[in-house]
Amino acid sequence: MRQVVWNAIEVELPDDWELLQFSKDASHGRLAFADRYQFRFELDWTTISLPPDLERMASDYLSKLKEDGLEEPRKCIHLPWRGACGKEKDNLVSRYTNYYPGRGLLLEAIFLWPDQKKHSTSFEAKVLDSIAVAPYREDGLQHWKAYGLDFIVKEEHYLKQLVAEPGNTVFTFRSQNKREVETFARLGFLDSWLNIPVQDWFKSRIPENFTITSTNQQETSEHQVSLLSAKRSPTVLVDWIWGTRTFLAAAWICPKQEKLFLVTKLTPSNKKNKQPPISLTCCEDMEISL
Amino acid sequence: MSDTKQLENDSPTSWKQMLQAVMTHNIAADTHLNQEGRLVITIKNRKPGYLIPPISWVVHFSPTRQITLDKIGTDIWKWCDGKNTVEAIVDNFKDAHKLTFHEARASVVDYLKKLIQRGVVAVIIQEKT
Repeated sequence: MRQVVWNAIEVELPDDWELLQFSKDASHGRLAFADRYQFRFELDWTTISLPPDLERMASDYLSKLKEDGLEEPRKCIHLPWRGACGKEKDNLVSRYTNYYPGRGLLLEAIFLWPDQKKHSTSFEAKVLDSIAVAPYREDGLQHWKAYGLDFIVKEEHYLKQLVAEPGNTVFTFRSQNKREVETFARLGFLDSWLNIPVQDWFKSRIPENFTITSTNQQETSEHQVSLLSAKRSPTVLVDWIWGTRTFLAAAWICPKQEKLFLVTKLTPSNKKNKQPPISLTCCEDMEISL
Repeated sequence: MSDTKQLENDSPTSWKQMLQAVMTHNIAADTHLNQEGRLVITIKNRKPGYLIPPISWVVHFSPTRQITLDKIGTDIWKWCDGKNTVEAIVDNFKDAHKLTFHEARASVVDYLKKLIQRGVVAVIIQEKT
């Protein structure tokens, strides 16, 4: 089983179930996972202010599904999860709902069982038991784990962009005032495009109008890590008010995964020392904090 | 959903039938390696029926066209041997590039579409059992 952590929602699913669809919105969205041949699991979330009556919700939902033509409808309960099961087209579908008051999140877990797969309530129970919503942390950070990346980012920053292409994944988080940006990347197909040393390629990632102030190399658990810092130059008026922005970055090739990992952080320098560090992990031997 | 991204734009209920298709070379194509070690495929063009005099006096007809594949394309083309299913090709590609199955599937299917459009490979669809 492999863990996925997204928007503070944690779930463990079989190793060969992959995340194929996602939503960036923290208040309302979904994740959809597939095995080799078809979608098997979906996790939906929505933020609500008051705890719902889950039992009534489940009954109402079952009635609605019956009206919609669900075959062999019945209630499904794996406390505290409640829901409805039945046949939709060629699939047996189980839908469970639960509420997490800590973040006001209403979750719906949907299992799709194709014809040839035997419905397993014990498997559903195992997955449902693995679902958790992480509480707010005192350090203001949030854990994410998906698409081969495992990282810690500021909770108040929102997921601005996610590029999830074959072999390339880049998460970009940004503050509401757009002054702070963090990126976490995992890049593959290195043979095809990385024809210069990492420390040189890395310099091309510096934002426009930034000047390198220091570079460094370090070895951590057989990972050759390139580190870089840069500063906005010349300073613009807004930097006089909010502080000159600095750019910090680290990049390395993980010998186990044979992928290039990159973490960058753009932050006002007056905030630099007050903030908890963000971090990126590629394997159990390696974690870099900025 | 506007903010939903996915590895593949079309999301069918199941892509099993597509994975069971068998890929084969265009038997009419000639191949050789160029100086850079890339595979060059020469495919015969079919002469359009309208290319008769006097149109053929002004419209040039090239009896062949050449396609040069990169390393990834060369590997995929080699695996299209008339025996391998798309699933087997995806597995080979996944192992060669250390990708997940669906990362490899998206890459391979995208590449195969281009190769099919250019007449380099053909697809044999298995009957649904």
